[in-house]
Amino acid sequence: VIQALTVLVPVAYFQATFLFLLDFLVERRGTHVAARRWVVAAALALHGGLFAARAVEAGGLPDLGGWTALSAVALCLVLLHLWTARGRHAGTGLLIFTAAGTLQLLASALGPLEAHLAPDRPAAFYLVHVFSILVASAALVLSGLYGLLYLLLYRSLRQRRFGPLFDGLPSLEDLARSTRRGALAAFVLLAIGINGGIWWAHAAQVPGFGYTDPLVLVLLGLMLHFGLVSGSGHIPGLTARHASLAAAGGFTLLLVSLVAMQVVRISFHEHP
Amino acid sequence: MSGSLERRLLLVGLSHRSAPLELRERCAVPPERLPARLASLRALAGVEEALILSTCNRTELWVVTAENAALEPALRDLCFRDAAASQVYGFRGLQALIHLFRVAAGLDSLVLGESQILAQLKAAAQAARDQGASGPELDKLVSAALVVGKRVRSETDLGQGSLSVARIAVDLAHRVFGAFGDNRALIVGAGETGLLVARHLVDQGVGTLVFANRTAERAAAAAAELGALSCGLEALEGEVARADAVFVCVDNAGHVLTREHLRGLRAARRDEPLLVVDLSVPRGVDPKVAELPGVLCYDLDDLARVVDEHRHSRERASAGSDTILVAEVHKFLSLRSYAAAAPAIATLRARFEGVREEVLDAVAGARTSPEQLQLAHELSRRLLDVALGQVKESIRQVRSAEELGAEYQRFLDSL
Repeated sequence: VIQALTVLVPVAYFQATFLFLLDFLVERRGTHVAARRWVVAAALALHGGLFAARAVEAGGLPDLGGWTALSAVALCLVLLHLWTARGRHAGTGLLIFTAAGTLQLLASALGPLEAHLAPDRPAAFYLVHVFSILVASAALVLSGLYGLLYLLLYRSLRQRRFGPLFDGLPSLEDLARSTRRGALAAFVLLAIGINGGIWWAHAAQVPGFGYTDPLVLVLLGLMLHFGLVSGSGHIPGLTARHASLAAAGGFTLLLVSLVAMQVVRISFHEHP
Repeated sequence: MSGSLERRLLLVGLSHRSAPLELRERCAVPPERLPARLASLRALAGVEEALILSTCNRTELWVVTAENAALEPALRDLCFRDAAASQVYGFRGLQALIHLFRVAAGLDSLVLGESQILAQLKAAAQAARDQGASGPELDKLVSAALVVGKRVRSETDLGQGSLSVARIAVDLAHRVFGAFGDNRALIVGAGETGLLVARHLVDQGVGTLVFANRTAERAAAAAAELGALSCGLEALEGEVARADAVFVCVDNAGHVLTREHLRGLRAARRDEPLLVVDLSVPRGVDPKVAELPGVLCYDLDDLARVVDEHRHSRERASAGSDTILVAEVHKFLSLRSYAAAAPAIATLRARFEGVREEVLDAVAGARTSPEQLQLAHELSRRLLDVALGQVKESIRQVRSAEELGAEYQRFLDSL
């Protein structure tokens, strides 16, 4: 079941992406809009089913480290997007589902098929830490992608091009607002997640943990960075464009840190 | 078309379809120059009636000339000297008539089906009448065109959801700001277009609306109508610094908004870009304003690109308008032909009466023999031949609806 769902989930996300693309490029109101809703619902059900299957196989809360965490971020990203944007604009849906599909594809292709039970750790802080960081990562990705869309739309408007971007994206102001709200959510959740993690690491005496750990530093940096993005509207001289640029930059930083964590394996998270 | 009008009606002009805004603004005829330009037009040898239609998207010279007068080069020289040959179009006779009906129906407008053109056409005809430049032929043409314009809008979906350049400008602002609840919009110019923009902004729920006008009283009157604020142009710089969106709708006032007016923009803490939309011809905003960072500046040609987004739905809405246009052209030409045939029919009747009197006299003077009866038959047949000959001549000049449909299609293909 896990193997089948591992294949089906990214496929469903990319099918939804394709239907968003149709919406974005062709007609706003077509039969594909209804089809898209069903495909999105199916993708979410399959993704939920994948985690349920992993929990059943592990016999409890499965270990959410590594690529499985990436899959969880993809799910949170889609849920956050659907909650905030409610699918009103094809352009945002296209980008978010492309991102979610790509994250899930990586998780499916590179992640383990077997599920393991999470280690026996102080449950409350562990859960707070893990879920805060996961949702914060999704909010951060969302903020970064909205920032990217702001920059694209702004550039398109400056160049007087009124193509699909103009048609399929929310207004500049809405994109700027979403960027900052995403950044604020990321900032708050990262603060909770990092503090919860530090408390738990001390309590559980996690080997290799230190405040100079690269991942801790990256997360702290991201937290401060997105705190600045979320409050940029109150800082003289900083415009929505600066905020968007910073959010998109923060998103890139997150990607780099994920690569560092998964490929270079430089963090205490990789200790046995 | 009656033989004579086919050879006498001539149109020379340029529009958003053929020429860029820079050229359109150079060729535009503002209201204060209209009398002189009409007089020059009327003074051309061979021009019997004249009318100038000058809007933000087109400048067209309409003339009824003496038979077969070759006036097109003179008309091009009068108004469109700066334009390349390909940027100026010229239509004669039936094609000119079809073009006029399409213009009135809004099918040739930048925003398909926009209704401002009807008022503009009416005003152009009135101005020509006031100057004594117009005449019965152009008056009839314009009246028919106005009827066609109204009919197309009432019988197709083009009349639903009134779309105009002003509406497109407000839609553009909507794409930048989303809901207008917290935004401040400044409208420079309190004329018809300015008011139209203001009404759309109010409909969209704009936070604060300010009118700026050269005549402060006029700005105050417009503001009072819409519950807005007002000021004179001397306060423009400060108002621009406070505004989120600026709509410039002035008539022939030169560049009322320049880089200097936006000096305070950097000092004012501005999170979102400033939107500047210029709906004036000639342009009221210095093009260099667009180079400033944080400014999104658009003119009418840019709005034309936005309009393309709406084109599909508007083309669907205009379904059936071509049929109406062909029917109206046919009706117009038929009515003209019947009108043209009326004197001939009256003459015919008189001649018939004369001949009949003669025949009756002849018949009354003697008993009706078979020869006389034969003579009466002969005479009546001759009368019939004459009558039919005249009527046939008149009717021959009315083209069938099918022919007109084909001609209309050829016209569309040539565009």
